Amino acid sequence: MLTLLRVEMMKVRKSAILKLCAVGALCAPLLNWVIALNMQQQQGTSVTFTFYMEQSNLFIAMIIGTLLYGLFTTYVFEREFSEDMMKHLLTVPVTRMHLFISKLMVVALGLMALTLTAFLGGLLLSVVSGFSGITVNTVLQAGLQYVKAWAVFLPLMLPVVLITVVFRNFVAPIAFSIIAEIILFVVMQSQYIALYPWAAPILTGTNILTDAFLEPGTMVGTPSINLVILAGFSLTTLLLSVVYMKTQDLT
Amino acid sequence: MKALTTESLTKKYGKKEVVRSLNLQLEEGEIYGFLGNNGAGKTTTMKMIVGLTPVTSGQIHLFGEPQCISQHLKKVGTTIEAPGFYGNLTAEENLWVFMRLHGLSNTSKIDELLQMGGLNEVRHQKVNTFSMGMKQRLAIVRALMHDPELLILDEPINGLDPNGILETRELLLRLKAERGVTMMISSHILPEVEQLVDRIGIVHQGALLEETDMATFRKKRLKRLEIQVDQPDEAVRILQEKWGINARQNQRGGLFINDVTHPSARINQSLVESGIGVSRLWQQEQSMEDYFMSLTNGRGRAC
Repeated sequence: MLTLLRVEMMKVRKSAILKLCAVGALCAPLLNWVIALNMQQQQGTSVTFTFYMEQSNLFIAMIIGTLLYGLFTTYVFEREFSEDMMKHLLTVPVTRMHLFISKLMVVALGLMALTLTAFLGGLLLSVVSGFSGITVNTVLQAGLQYVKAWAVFLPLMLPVVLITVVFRNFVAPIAFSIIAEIILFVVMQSQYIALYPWAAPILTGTNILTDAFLEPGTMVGTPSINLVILAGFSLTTLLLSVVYMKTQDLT
Repeated sequence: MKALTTESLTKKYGKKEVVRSLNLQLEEGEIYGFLGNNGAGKTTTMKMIVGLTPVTSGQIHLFGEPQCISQHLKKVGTTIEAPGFYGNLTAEENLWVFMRLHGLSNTSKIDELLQMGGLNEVRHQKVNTFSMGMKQRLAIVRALMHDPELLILDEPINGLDPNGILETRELLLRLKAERGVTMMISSHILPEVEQLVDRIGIVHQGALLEETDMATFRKKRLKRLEIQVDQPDEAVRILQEKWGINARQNQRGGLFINDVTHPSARINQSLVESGIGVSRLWQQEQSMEDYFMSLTNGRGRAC
């Protein structure tokens, strides 16, 4: 299993996808840095580190995370199909479940690397720009928010995995991610936002509650209910993926 | 001991039966040519043998035991369909990936395999820059990574240039001679198979039409006499009258005789004595393609 993980890591490291996604992940701190500098200039007040990092995290949770992480996940799971490698791996023999689990682990590590890239990028720009309120405590608080967002993005990748292994191409999972993103924009200002799994990175992963988008107290459900829905949805897709991987001809 | 046997091996996709009650036997140390049209069921059979596709019914035995993929694949090397590789990795890195997956750590094995495949000079080149022939050779040496006892090679000489075909043939024959590796090879380049295999199995529409060793096969193939003459119509008449032979004309103005029991020298003599100019006379053996075509009723365009 460790060997398989090592091999999977090597394959990702040698590809351009991680670098490409890292550039995408850096968009969040970079764009928000431009906005923050603009705000400083217009309002004449210093932007706080906490506010800047929250905004960057929200940018990932709401706008780029689903697509960026979906792209990375698709790459990891689709590669063996597009390179016609599945039959060669399975006759080594590598068991389907070991392959599946090792790829999930690579996705988790890859998403962590991308989250870390965004976080460190934001921290670096904050220090360079002299944003106020940079203390060990605020850095740790911001770090925790990024970790929370990462943690809820992971189960959201399971439907992407299912679609990738079933359709065995890039188009279907990326289209799915785009649709999930569009629906998120639609439900964003709806009272039912907590019922939508893709709202989890916002509701759980950021400090910016729906009050920013909704009238206070109008939201149906709570972030906890949202997590329960996310767990149920993700576990179902995980189960379906496992059944598919175990029973279908993958070559 | 048999390296591989299948008993009533059957595969259905929905209602369509793509492999029908196939009974194959591979002796240890032999090279077995598995021939058939496109869609005849060769690849599906190979996939079932290596556990890539579930068997609908029937049994597979590997090395005398019922098929147990996790156990038996340690002794089996495969290339199924197109040789797949991680295109952005080099030849060496691709082999490294498989070496690790096989649980091997001796990197000198990679050097040995690259040398064996004649790929040492391109070892640091990304595989997506490789020609089909180079990929085929890399696929074969990859299949040899763990010193398998049985090699399942699906179209291993497909896409190779004449040099590549020669090198691959020599490599496979060397493996047989030096290591006693048993091989099951499917190929559409029939003359190449003929030069390589000990036995052949011909499969058509999922069913085994014939399984025979090459010595028997060579005896069974039809032989015919071909004669190039200046007066074909007159020659046909003379052969009929003097020998009772029903000669037929080919499109090039020559004749061919399927009955080769008559001495060719005497046939030549009688034609010349009758004033027929004979420019060529030779005995021809039915090619493997012709034999295959005759078995599949002419539907065996490509195997």
